[in-house]
Amino acid sequence: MKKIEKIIVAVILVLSLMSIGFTMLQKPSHSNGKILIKVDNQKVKEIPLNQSPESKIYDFQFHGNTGYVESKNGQVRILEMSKDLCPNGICSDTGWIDKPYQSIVCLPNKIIITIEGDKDDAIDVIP
Amino acid sequence: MLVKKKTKNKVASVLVILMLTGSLTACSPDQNQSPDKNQATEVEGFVMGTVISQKVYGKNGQKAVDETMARMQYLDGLLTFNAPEGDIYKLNENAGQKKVELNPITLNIIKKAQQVAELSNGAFDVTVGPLVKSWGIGTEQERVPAPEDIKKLLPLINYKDLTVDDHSAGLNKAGQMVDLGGIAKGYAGDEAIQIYKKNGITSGFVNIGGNVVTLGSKPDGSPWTVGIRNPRPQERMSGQQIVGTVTVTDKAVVTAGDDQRYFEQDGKRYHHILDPHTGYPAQSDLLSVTLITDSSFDADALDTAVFILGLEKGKELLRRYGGVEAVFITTDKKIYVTDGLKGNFTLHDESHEFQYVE
Repeated sequence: MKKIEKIIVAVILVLSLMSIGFTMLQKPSHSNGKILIKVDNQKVKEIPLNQSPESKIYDFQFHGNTGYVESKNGQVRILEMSKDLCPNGICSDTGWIDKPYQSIVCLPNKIIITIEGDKDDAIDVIP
Repeated sequence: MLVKKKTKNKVASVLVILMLTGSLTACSPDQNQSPDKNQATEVEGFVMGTVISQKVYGKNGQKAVDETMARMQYLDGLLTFNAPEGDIYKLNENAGQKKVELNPITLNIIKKAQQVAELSNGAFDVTVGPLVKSWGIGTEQERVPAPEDIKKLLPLINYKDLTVDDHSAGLNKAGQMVDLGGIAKGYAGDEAIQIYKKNGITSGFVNIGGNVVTLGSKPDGSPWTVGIRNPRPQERMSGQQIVGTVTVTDKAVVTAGDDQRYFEQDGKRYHHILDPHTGYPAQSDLLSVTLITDSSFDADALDTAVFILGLEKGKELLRRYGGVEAVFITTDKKIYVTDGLKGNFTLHDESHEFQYVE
C-alpha cells in the first residue's frame, strides 16, 4: 500500500469512528431519564431523574391531596403517605426504581410512577 | 483472489469504509423505519382491581388502546363479583335458588374454569368465592379468619355444585359464590389482542396485572423480552426485580405467585391464592410459576392450579394439558423450566440468590 493510500484509509477510519462515537453520544441514556407521574391515567408531573447522590424531593397533586417522590442516584421512590390516604402502603414499600420497565403503583389512589428513558432496555415487560 | 487485485481492492476497501461510515450515521434507530409503523402508543390504566399497561405500534394505536380500555371496563362490570349489574353478582345472588341466564362470555369463562377444575382435581375452583370474601386479601378488610369460620365455609367450596349449559349457570347451595379472579384477566388479555388485530396492529403487548400477551414481534423483527419476576426481592416489592428472561413472539406469559397480593400477621405471610381444599393460602413448594402458551385465557386458569399443586403435580398437569411451557421458582430458591424453554430462558438474577437447575 502506498503511503498516501495509508493516510487516506487512516483518515477515513478515524472519521468513521468519530461518527460512530457521535451517534452513540446522541442516543438517549438513563442520564437524561424522566420521572412520569400519572393520576387516573393523566400525566400530572414530569420531573428529570436526579442523578446526583444528594436526594431531591418533589411534590405532586392527586384528588386534592399532595404526594411526594424522592429522587437520587438516577432512582426514584414514593414517600409514605398517611394511613387514611393509603392504608397498606404498598406503593411506598415498592422502594426505589431505576428502570423503564419498572413502575410504582398506588392502587387506592390510582397513581402510577414510571421512568422514561432509554427504551432500548433489555426487558420489554414483566408479567 | 483478494491479494492479487491489489489496486482495485484498495479502492474497494476505501469505498466499503465510506459506505460503512455513511450507513452508520444514517442508521440511528428512529430514522430508518416508516413513522407510522414505528410509532408507539403506550398507556397505563386501572381496571379489574389491577393495573393494565398497553404498548402497541402503528397508526391506529390510540384507537386500539382506547377500544381495549373500554372493553376491559365492560368485562370488569360483567365478571367482578361485587359489580351489582354484572353476571357473577346475579349468579351468586341466586345461589341455591335457580339457574340464571348469562352472557355467552361469562358462560365461556365458566366452562373453561370447570375444565381446569376437573383436570386439576379441584385445585383450581372458581367456587372459592366465600373464602375470598372472608379473607379479604387486597382489600381494607384483610384478616386471618377464625379457624371455625373457615371450617364452616369449606363445604360450600365445590366446583361440582356449579352447573353450566349453553344459556345459563347455577350454584346448588345457598351461600355459594363464584369468583372469577383467577381467570377473568386471562380472558381479557386474549380479547385485547383481538382488538389490536382488528385495528390492523401487528406489534404490541398488553399486561393486565401479571397477564402479559404479546402480539407478533417487536417492530424491528426481534422477539419480546419478558422478565421473570423475583418473588423474594430485598425490599417488599422493590420495583420488580427479575431473576431471568424469556423471549417470545405471539405468546401469553402469565405469572402466579405468592408475592403479588399478601399481608403479614405475626410474621407470617398470607397471600391471595387460596387452596380450595384447606381454606388457607396455598402452601406448595412453589414461590411462583410462569406459564407461556398461545392463550392467556388457558394460562391464567392453569397457573393458579399449578401454583397450588406444586412442582411435580403441576408439571404433570401441564403435560396432560399440552402446549404449555413453564418457569417454576421453588421455595428453596431453585428455578426449573420445561424442556421447550431450555435454551430460551436466561438467568439474570440481580439478587444472586437463585439457582437455575438446567
